[in-house]
Amino acid sequence: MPRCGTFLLYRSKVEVFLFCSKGAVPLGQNAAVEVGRHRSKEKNMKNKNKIRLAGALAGIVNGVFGGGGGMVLLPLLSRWSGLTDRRLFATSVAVIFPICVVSAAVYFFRAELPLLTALPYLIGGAVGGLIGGVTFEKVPVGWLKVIFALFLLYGGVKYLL
Amino acid sequence: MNEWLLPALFGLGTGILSAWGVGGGTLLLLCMTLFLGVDQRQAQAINVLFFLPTAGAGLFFHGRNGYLHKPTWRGAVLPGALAALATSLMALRWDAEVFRRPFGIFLLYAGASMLWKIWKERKSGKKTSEGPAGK
Repeated sequence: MPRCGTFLLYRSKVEVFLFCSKGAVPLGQNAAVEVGRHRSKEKNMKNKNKIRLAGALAGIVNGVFGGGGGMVLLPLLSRWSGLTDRRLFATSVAVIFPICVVSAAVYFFRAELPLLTALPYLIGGAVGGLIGGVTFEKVPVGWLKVIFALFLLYGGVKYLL
Repeated sequence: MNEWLLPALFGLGTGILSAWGVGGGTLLLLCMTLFLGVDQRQAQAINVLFFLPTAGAGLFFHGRNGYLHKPTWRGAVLPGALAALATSLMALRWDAEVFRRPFGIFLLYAGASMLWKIWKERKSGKKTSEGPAGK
């Protein structure tokens, strides 16, 4: 079967067919536009599936290790979503947030969540989150990426040791 | 005092990194297990809980500044939450040490890949940073 969007000469007149997974679809005079739209739709669907996969992998890592979901999500979204650097970081945080809600709920209902021990970390983390949010725009993104990459290497060595 | 001060300081530093989306949550997990002597399972539970207020605080500003991309978020969040639910329930039945080595290998690969990409971009002269106007 020809690739999706193939133009086909049929008998004495030009008939344009859009070959895709659903079979041949005859097109009219706006064939080029329709092909472009269809290819764009198929590409968007492939990207959506990849983004779903990225979310699932981040959820798996976060569920198994109690952290690290962002480390999975960030490189994958960087490759598959086409987002710019700051939007990529912010959107990754937004995805990991509900994932952590789910994991925390599981730990809580399994009675494995030490709330009193966690309290100082939470207080410091909340203040840090505010500071990080306010300063996010002022931080050079290039350095963010280098810091993040070095941190991945550091984490990898520590997990292997 | 030290029982509160050190954890709070570690929380502060990793909270800032978390709001920047730079894997701060994993750093806290490592700090707790390697420097503060927290049990692995307990550290995982604290780590997961820790991310919630830090991310919430950071997200407030990210959303206000228009950095959140909702289509991507919508696509990733449901599969992520379902996967986290299933694997959290499974992981609590197993020893966390079982997954340590594979995760370590992945982290090394991810870090090396990212540094390689950064190096290639800088070598080709491509800009890797953008200012506030480049949203």
